[in-house]
Amino acid sequence: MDFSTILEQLTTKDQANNLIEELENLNESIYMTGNKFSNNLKKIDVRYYPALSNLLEKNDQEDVLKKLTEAIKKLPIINVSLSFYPSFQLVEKIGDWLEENIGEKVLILIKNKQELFTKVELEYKGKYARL
Amino acid sequence: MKQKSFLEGLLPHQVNQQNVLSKAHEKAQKIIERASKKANQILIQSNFFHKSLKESLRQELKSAVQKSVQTYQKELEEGIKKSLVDLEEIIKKQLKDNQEFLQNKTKEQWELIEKDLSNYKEQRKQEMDKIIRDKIGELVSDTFIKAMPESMKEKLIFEALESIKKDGFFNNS
Repeated sequence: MDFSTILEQLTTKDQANNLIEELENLNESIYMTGNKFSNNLKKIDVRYYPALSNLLEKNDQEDVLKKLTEAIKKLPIINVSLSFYPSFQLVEKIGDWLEENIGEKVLILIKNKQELFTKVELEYKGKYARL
Repeated sequence: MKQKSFLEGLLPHQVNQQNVLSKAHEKAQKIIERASKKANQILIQSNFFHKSLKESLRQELKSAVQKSVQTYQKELEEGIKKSLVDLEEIIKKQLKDNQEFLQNKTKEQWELIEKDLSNYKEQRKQEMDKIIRDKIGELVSDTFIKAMPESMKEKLIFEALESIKKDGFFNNS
């Protein structure tokens, strides 16, 4: 199963956590009576909905949700500590830059540390840098 | 010279006998009187002796009791005196021990208080330093960082990313 369309939409760790939570809710409603599953599916963020809906129609629903959750959890995380909260547009730019320069999809976790002033701290796969 | 009575003339031997008897009676009377007197004397002496002996025994007993009481008093006084001296020594020693214990305890407590105070001061200093640092940070953030244009923030981040990329930060090790 190809989840790249969905994974491409993820930029931050918070987005990934929210999507995992939505997928868990969806998974719990698979065997529920009524329209609970389709109602929960409609609650999925519009960025992921078309691709997810397509996958769920063509494959075993439980299998799709389980594998997608695993794929999201496997994405590497980069911690970016700043003395300010960057705008979402700037975070997306950082995400694009990272994917282009690292060669893989990474999730950004922004941390606010006022004492850094104009410095930037980065942690990625056990490495640490402060500039 | 005494003249003889008529009877004496008639019965001279009877009169003589009568005289002898009278004399004998008189003599016997005297002997009895003397014996009685002597007996009285002996009795008086005996009573006196008895009284004297009783008094002597009383005096001896009194003396012995007095001596015994004196000895007992003396021994008691000495005993009490010795006990008081011993007690005084014990109290002195106990007081000294207590004083030393209190001094050590006070010193120990004082050192603990000083240590706690020192730790507290150091902790408060660190807390105050952190508060000051945070306040300065907030001030700088409010006045400088927040006022920084988005383009400048972007530049700051991408310069850092480019720099660590050059250093091989993203290379798989």
